[in-house]
Amino acid sequence: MSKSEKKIVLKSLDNEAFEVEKAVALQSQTIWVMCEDKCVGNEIPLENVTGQILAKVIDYCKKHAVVDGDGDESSEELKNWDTEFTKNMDQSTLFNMILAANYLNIKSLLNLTCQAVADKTKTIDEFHTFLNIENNFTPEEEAQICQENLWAFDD
Amino acid sequence: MDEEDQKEKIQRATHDDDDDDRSQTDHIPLDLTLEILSRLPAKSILKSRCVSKLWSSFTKLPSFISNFASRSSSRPPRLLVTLSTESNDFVFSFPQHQNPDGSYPQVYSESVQGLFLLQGFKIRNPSLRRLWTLPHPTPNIPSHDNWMSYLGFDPLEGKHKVLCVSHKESQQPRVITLGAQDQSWRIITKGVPRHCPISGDHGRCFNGILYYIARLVGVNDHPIIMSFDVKSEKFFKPIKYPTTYTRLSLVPCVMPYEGRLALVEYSINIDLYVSKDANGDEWTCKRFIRLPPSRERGVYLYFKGITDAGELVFAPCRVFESFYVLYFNPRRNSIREALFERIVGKEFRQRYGLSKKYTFKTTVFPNHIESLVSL
Repeated sequence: MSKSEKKIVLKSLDNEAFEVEKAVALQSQTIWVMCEDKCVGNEIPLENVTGQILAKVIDYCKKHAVVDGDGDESSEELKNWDTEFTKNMDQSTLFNMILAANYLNIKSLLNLTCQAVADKTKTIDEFHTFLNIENNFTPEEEAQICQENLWAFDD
Repeated sequence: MDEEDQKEKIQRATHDDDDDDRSQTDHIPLDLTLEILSRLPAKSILKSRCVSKLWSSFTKLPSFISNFASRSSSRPPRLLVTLSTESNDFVFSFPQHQNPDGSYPQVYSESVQGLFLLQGFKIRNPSLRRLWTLPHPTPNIPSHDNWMSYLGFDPLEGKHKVLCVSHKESQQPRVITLGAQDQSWRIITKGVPRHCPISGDHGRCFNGILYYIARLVGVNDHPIIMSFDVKSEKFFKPIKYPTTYTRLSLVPCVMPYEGRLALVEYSINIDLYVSKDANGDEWTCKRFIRLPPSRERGVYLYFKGITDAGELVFAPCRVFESFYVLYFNPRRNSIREALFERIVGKEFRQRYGLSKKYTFKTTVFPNHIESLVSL
C-alpha cells in the first residue's frame, strides 16, 4: 500500500478537512462501509458533523486506534483518558458527540458519551431539560407516583 | 398494550416537533435517549418514572429491563450489605473491587443487584425496594417446611426461575418463571433423579445452571451435588463429591470459583475444592488457615462467598458502627481490607428509634448488580 492510500480525508458539514490515518478513521463503521464499497474516493464528506465536533471525534479515534507497535496503552490509562475527555464537555457538545458517534457508528464512543450524559442527569429537572421529556402527569398523578417512589429522591 | 405500540406512541410523543435543524443541539432522537436512560442507576430510573407517563411505562417494558440488566452486569459487581433490626432491613451497597478511600457516613439505599429468594417463597429486589410472595407450590398443604427452594437465572432468555424440591419423595419438583403471565408452578415429571435436598444449603446458580446439595434416595447416604439447567428445566446427572471430602456431616457451600464449580467447607480451616470437569470426576483441593479476628474489638469474621475476581470474602455477623470486610486472594496469597466506618451513626439510630448501643445483624452478599425486574 502506498503512503497516500494509508491516509484519508474527512470533510465536515462546514467544509473543514481533516487528514487522518486510515486506521484511525476506520473505527467508524460508517466510514469503513463507505471505504469497503469503494463508493467514495480518498475524501469522505460527513454531512452530519461539524468541524468542531469532528475534531474531537478524531482525537478520540486517534487515542483508541491500534496502530502497529503502538497499541500498548494500558486499559487503565485509556479509561482515565476517556474520563478526562468527556469531563469538561458541556451539554450541547455531549449531545453533538452522541449524534456524531451514532451517525459514524463508533460503538465505544457512543457508549462513553451516553454514559457521560447519564452520569450528569440526577434531578427531575435535569430529566426534563437534558432528555427533553414533557411532563404529562396531572398534579394528582404526579403526587401519587412520586409518593410511591419517594425513597428514590432521598439523597 | 403491545410493546411495539407503546414504543411508537412514545416516538410520536417525543417527536412532535421533529426537525432537521442540525444546530438544534438540545434534542436527541428517542433511541439515543433510551441509550442514555438505560445507563442510569436504578434509583434514577425510578425518578424518571415520575417524569412522564410514557417514560413510566417505557422503563417497565421487558426490552428496557433486559437492556438495563445487561448494562448492569457489565459494570463491576458490588458488595451488598444488609443491617437488620427486628423490624427493618437496611440495605447498603459498596464497590467490591476497590477499597473505599475513607468512610461512608451516609446511608445510601439504592443498593444493588437482581433478586433474592427469601424464606416463605418471597422474592426481593433491593434496587426497587420491593418484596413479592410467590404462590405456594401446594396451597392445600401450606407448610413451608417440606420444601427447599432455589433461585436460578437463565442468561440466554434473561429469565429468573425458582425451583422447589420437596423433602418428601411423593412430591415432584416444581418450577416457576418469575414475572411470567402464568404465575403457577410447573411440575417436572421426567428425568428427575430420586433425591432429597439437604437443608442448610441454599444452592447457587451460575452460567444458567443451578447447583444444590442433596442425597440420592436408596443408594447410600453420601451427599451429592444436583445440577439443574434453568433454561430447559432438566436435571443433569448428579455430581459426586470429591473423594477427599471427608466431613460428610457438614454442608459445604456450592459456588463458582474462577468460572468452575467449587465446594467450600469452612470450620476450622477453609477448604476450597474446585472441580476440573463438569462431572465432578476430578477435584483439586486447597486449604487455607482460618483468618485471624479483625484488629478492632477482636470481632470474628465469617466466610461470606467468593467475588467474581476469585477473592474470598470475610465479614462479621454483627455490626455496631464500623466494620471490616476482608478480601483474601488465594492466588496471590494476599489480603486487602475494606473499612466501613460509621455507616450507621448517631443520627441514623435516632431516626429509627434504636438505642445508642444497638448492634445490627449483618449479612454480606458479594457480586451484586442492580436490576429493574418486577414481578
